[in-house]
Amino acid sequence: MGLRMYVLLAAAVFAIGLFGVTTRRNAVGILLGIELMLNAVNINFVAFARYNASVAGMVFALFTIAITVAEIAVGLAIVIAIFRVRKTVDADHLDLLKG
Amino acid sequence: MTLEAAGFWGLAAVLLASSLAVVLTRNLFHSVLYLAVALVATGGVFLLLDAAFLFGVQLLLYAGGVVTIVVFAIMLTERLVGERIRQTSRSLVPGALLAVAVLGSVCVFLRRASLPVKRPPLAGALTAALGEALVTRYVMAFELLAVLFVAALLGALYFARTDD
Amino acid sequence: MTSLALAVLGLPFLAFLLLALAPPLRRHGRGAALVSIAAIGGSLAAALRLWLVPLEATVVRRWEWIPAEDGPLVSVGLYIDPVGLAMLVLVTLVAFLVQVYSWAYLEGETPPSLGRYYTYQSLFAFSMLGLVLAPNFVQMLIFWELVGLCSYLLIGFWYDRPAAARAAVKAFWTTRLGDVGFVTGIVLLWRATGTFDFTALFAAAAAHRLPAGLSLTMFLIYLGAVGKSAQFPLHIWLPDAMEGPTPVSALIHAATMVAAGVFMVTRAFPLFAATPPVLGLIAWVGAFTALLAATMACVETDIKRVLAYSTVSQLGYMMAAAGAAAPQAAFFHLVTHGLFKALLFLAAGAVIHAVGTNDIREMGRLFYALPQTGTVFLVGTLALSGIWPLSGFFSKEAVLAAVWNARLGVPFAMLALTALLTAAYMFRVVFLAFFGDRQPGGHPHDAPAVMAVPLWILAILTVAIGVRGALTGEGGQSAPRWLPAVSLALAAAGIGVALVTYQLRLVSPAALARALGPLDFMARRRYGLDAAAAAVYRGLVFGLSRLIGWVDRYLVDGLVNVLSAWTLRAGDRLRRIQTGRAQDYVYGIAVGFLLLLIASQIWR
Repeated sequence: MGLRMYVLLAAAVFAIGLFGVTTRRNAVGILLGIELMLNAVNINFVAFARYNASVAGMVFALFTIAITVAEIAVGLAIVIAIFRVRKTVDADHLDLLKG
Repeated sequence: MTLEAAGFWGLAAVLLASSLAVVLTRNLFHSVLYLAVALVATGGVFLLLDAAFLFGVQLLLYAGGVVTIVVFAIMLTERLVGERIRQTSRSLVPGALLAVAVLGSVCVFLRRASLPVKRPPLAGALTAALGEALVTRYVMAFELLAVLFVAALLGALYFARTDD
Repeated sequence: MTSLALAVLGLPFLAFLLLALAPPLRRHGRGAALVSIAAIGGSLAAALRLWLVPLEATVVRRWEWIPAEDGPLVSVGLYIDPVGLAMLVLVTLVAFLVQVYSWAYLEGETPPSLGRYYTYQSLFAFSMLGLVLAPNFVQMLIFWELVGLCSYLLIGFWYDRPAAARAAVKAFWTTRLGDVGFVTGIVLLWRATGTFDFTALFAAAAAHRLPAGLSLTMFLIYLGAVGKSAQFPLHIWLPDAMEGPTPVSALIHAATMVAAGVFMVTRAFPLFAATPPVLGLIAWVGAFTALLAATMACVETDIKRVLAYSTVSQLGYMMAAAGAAAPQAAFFHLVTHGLFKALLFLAAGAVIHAVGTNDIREMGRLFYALPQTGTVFLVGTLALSGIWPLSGFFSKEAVLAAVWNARLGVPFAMLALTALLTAAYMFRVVFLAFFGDRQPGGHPHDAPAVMAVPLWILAILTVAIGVRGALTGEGGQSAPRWLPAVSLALAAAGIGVALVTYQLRLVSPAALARALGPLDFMARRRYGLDAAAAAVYRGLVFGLSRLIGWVDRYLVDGLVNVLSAWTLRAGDRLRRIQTGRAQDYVYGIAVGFLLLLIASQIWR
């Protein structure tokens, strides 16, 4: 199994995650898509690390996992906060990010 | 077909299928469960790549921690909404086009890239090397990670607390 | 020698600096006048001292100014030769006398105004002396423009009079028109020869090493003189310049500044000599200007304007002499004319001071009321008319001889006719203003001593130069034997015409005017030249303004409006892609990523 296959796998998972992020209406669903994309990144990190005999990639994968956990915690907290204020978690209605 | 190839294809199939299920399932709760499957499959990929420690971390932190948090969040919001959250998708075609375009362009890029085919032999215990790198060369980032966790914890508390 | 020359140049400048930088002194008026007069007096003494020591050779001192790779590109310095020294004495003398005269003439001015006057006077003296001493074209140009500036300031001295302000602007614009040619010519000359320096240029001219094809260049340089010395068709500013105070007219617009053009042609004569076509043009234009201005002087009723046209006419004389390859004759006439024209102007000033009007039709029998002024005015008139043995006779004869010797038949005829007209219009003024039978109003009295002394000095000098010429036979180009007789006869004829018309009243002026109908009609309207110049000027300025206005309104504004409209519309459209939904922004990121990938595929 060459490195290429792992990278392709990661790319496919990344694309699926991207699809989820762009199409989901629910804020939690979007977060799940982001999780998938981050996972794809992790696969790449570990695969490259293994094939280049460098431990750095694995260290970064570890960091990514840790940061992802923190991010999902904050993200969900924000979702809940938004829900309290707007009474919805539908991303179509969350359009305050404009001038 | 070697054992590794068989494992890879099997895991790849599971991973892709569960990933697709995550983004396509209507039921949000099922979505989360599929995500757990995908995360475990990713852990399996790590195992294939000889990163046993990362497999453990993935399983414990991700599949365990994250999924638990998400489930909690969903239940909390459902309780607040008072009904089942139906998960729907919008503008499926543009999203699919975009995803396929990204995947395609990465594939084109990968075709030209020269990537190693053989993995080098392991020079000792990978987990030990990982641990050593973590507390020597990357110790600063490691410590900062702790700060980040504290900040994230406080931030999550701040956002999620009730006003009263 | 150098230090003396620097003193000549520096004293007026110091006076100017002092007056310009010390407002209390300037506002004191009389104190400012004393400073200025003392400075120009010292300058005059230094110039006389320089002049009286015989000069063996031309002295040139240079100080490096603009450095360049091989030697300085431009230097500043002093160029002292006999012509320059004579000019220095003339300028300092007339300036000194005029400043003394102004003391009494401008007694009615407020002190700050008087201080301003003397500040300008000092600056003018400095500028004019610097022009005379300039050793290269660049320094000459700088002082040339400074002189023009002073002229502008002094014509517009009474700036609250609209006519004076207009005249100042007109003078500035008209001379500037010639200066455009001057600057261009200087630069072209530098391109052709690689130097601005007179010494180097003259050496090249003497050795016939000047590059060919300098005609256009020298013509452009000559244009500067056309503007400054009021040659046709740029003579229109000089009569209007009479709006300034009379002493200013005497100093700047008769004796010195307007002669700068002639002086420049004289100075750069070796260069002009290398371009015969330009020389011929100078002679023709000079002669034509002389005749044209003389006819206009005949119909003018303002005493100062008569003198102004007469100045234009005499400048034409000088230019004609220069064009006839006789720069020494031109310069001789410049000096004598400078003296007696300053005399005439100052005397006219005394008359105006006494009767309070410029119009000769309102004067009469002034000779009996103002015997001193009348006498000196008569001396000046006789000199200008070219009566033996006054200075004008000799210089005018030298000019005529030069033109005759250069075989310039038609210009000679024009100049001869001008001589007749000169005598006629000058004696017209004399008979109308000083004799005749009309009693002037009021009780005019002779000028105070401060004004009278300068007049007498100038009158004595006019006679003295003439007598010296008579004794030594100086100014004698190899003139034909019949020339003195002819020139005297012409002058006498002119005087005779004036006598029978204006004194004896045997012929009525109106009848004479009818006899010369069209000419009289045209001369009274200044041949339409002023109107034509105004029309051209107006046409140019308005046309250009309209064009620029159109460009601004439709092209510049239009462009800006179109751009702003597009920006608005584009902004309005682009606003919509900003939905505020984070998901849509993910599209942007992804598309950007795709573009980057594609770009990396194309350019690598």
